[in-house]
Amino acid sequence: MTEPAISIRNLHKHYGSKHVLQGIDLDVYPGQVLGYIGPNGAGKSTTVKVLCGLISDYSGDVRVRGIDVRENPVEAKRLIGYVPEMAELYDVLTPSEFLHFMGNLYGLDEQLCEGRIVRMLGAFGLQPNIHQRMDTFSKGMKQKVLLTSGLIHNPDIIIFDEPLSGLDANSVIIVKDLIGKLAREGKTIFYCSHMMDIVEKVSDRIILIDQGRVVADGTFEELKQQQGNQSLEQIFARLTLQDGLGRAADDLMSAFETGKS
Amino acid sequence: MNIVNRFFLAVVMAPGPLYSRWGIEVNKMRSILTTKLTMDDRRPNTMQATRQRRGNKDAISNATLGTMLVSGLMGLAFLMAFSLTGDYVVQLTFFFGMFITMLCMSLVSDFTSVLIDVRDTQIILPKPVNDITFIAARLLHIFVHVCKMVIPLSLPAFVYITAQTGIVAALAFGVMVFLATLFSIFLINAVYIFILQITTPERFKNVISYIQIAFAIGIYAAYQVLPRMFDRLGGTGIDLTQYDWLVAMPPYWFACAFNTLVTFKTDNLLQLISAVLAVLMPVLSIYLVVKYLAPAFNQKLAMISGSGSATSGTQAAQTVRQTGGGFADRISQVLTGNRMEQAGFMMAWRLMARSRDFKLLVYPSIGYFLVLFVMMVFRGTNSLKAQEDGLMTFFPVLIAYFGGIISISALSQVSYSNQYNAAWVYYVSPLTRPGEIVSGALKAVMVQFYALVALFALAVGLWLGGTDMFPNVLLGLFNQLLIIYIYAVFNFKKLPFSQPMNMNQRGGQLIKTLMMVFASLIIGSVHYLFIKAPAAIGVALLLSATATWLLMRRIRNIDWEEMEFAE
Repeated sequence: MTEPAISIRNLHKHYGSKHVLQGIDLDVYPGQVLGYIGPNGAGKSTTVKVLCGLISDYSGDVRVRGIDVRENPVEAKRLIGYVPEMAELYDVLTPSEFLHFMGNLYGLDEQLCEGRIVRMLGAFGLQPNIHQRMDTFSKGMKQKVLLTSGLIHNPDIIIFDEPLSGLDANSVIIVKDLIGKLAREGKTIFYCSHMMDIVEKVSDRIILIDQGRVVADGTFEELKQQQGNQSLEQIFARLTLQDGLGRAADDLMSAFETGKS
Repeated sequence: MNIVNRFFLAVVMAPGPLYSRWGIEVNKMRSILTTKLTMDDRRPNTMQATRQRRGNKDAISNATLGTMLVSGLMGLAFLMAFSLTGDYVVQLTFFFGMFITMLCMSLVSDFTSVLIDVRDTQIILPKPVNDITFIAARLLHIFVHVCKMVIPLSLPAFVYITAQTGIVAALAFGVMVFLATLFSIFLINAVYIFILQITTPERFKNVISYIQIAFAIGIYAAYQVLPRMFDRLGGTGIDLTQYDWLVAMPPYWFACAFNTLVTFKTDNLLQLISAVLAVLMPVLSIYLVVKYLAPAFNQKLAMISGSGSATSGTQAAQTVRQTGGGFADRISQVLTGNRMEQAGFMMAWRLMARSRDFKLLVYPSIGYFLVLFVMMVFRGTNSLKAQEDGLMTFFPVLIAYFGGIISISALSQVSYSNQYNAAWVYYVSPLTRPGEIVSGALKAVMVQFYALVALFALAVGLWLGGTDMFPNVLLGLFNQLLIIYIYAVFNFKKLPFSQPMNMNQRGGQLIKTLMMVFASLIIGSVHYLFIKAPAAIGVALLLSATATWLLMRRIRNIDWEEMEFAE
């Protein structure tokens, strides 16, 4: 097989006394769409931050196309496109200004950048808003700008953190379609999300982490074979929850009882 | 970008080749700086922050020029230091006193909101930008920002000194301004470290907004007090040499150093020590900042960004004290008639105490009022040396009448919020009479903003005239309460924190407030005529209280048809 696009070996990370990542091992190959899932606090965003070169005090070996992320973060960052989870952007700027700024940080040629901005925002239907300040934008519009900012330099590896939040149904179809096409071109997609039905559909490999460890790894079909023919939602629940989910719902229902008695 | 930003950008980018040699990626740095300066232009500055919070953000596009203009006017105002008789030491001590205060106060809030933007970690750091480029861009941005304050602030004095003494003296003055600026930056760093020491990063922004409020009030007080002070001091002349403690005051150092540089002599040993300190302290303090403060500072600042910060997983969120048996809860039970009204009370009570926007808008106006009030009393007691008996006894009643203005200014803000969309809760719940919520909110405002005024008025009354004063003070309080409730019946048919903030209603608001002041004035004057007639006061008290009670009922009965909604 070819060289892995992302290679993580024995990744540990502590926040103070809390052991957040407890030895993650992972290889992702070009053309793969990796669904990275896990309950809140499992260590998903910490993994992403390590990959993006935002955290350097981890132990273990993390490489992006053979480049050590800690040794040479700038080179690694050049290869990665990152779409962060929360709509963090400088919203007093216009999409055009913001994306040109992003393009500059990647060292893109102005002309090339301008062309891409117009075409990509146009594809998302943001053509009329291209010179409006983003502070009046809806969540979905901001998310489209963020998606564009993560893709503008045509990166080999794209990290999506909940990329569909706030998007309308049509845009969701566009992004899902886009992910498939990017993968077919040999790009590596690292897809973090809580929406199991979408992860189930877009990813060709799913990693489930819990409490800083990988607890399941494989295609959706493989997971179904291992865990019995269930939906990803049910597999997720089985692997990460001690008590049955049925109990939680019963507990919720029983809360009505206390008032009556 | 406007011409000023383009100029500064050109200046700081001039040593480009040198930057490249240090490993800075010049094009990326230029891009970061351009973006930052563009954003500065679209952000309300410190001096406008308290006012423009509610404004339409689109309107701000040349904030830089605005800031510089205001700084320039301040700089002109600083020239009054040179009206003092005495030598440069006296004049410049005052000048640098004002200069350092002004600079620190405005930078203290800019540091978090403008200069160290926590979004940078999300937006710039995942991009292929090396550390030195990022840090250099940040430092140059701070440099440009400080220049935009310092140059307009000191330019008028620079010109004055050039004209008065010559260009050499003016250049020496320039050096002193530079040193004083370095020292101010150190002070701000120290303040930040101190705040972060005593509070959690989560509360940091709140503390900063309190400083902003204090800043706004301080400027207003200075504007009221300083010209009068200079008037009084101007003729007499001051001899600073007799005050030894001045050697501990930074403004004095810079004044002495200037004097020494220009005249090559010092009046005494203390002045020499001061002059040495002027050079030594900024250098030492910048060393401290770079060596010890800045690293800890950046680490802590990183924590201020709540989401995804290093501590978010491990540190418990700020838990709110359980208010089950709290003061507000008990008082709401006493004051409100039913659950709905109590809900309105508690909701308004908590949001008023916690909303940063509300505090930023209301607290400064309370401060202005207090400053104005103190000035009034100060001037009043000075001019009325005879201490006319009638006016003295009327004084606590005056407090009652004027104190109500605070409540009006709070009341005019309670309906507005940036999170007005959250008001959907009122519309989906089976709420038949919104007036009950309004009434509850109104009572919460009264308790938070009027109760203290009332107690103060009563205390002053007790102190000045004993219990005999009570009927008069009480009448004053009830009359003011009545005025507030009349105001509320006409203007407060809005649910608390349910309306979008916008600029348009400001003008109308001012007129309404002025009308309330005018009404207080008329009723107060009539009251003054009858101050010595206990029977009349008693009847008036009864009437006033009854009218207030009726209005309270009226407000509780407001139904959905009567409510006002924006747009």
